[in-house]
Amino acid sequence: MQAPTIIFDHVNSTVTILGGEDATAKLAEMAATQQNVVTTSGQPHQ
Amino acid sequence: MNIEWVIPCRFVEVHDNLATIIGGGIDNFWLPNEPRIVQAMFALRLTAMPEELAGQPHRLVNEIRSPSDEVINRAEAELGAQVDEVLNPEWLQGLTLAGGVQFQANEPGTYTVTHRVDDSEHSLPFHIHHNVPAGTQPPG
Repeated sequence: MQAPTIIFDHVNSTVTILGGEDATAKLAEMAATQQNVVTTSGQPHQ
Repeated sequence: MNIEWVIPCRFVEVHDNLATIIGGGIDNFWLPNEPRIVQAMFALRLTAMPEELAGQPHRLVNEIRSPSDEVINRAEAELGAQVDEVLNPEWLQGLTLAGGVQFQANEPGTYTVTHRVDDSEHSLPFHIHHNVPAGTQPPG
């Protein structure tokens, strides 16, 4: 089975369905734009 | 078709119906700068009988709710699957998808990210902070 990659962009109100290398490139682009955002798991520690 | 699980993560790729997940389980996002755009990826596992996969497209909904539980936005897509080979046609089949979601978080607090497929629903909490964790410096 081949499955698509689905991007829900609520900022621009778009839904993009990609496959293959296009999907890999889009996911890598999303990861790159979040470099200044810290992500953690669990309860916040402040 | 049912949602078996959804794993929020920093990065995911799916090859041969197998997910390679980095940073699975993220649920706190520390946004130091404007615009406060939250981006996350997710691995989504769906289960269905073979005839469901090969039949009519399924409606996949992604919905974002604010800390005050108001719907910020709702997006929908038609989901179909190409079934190449079914080893056990009487068993539930698993379909693994990679995805991404982004939304603007104008206020800190717990947002809810909900996925729906047909009548199946799965919600995730996203805890949003407008700063960086105590004792750390912003990356980059």
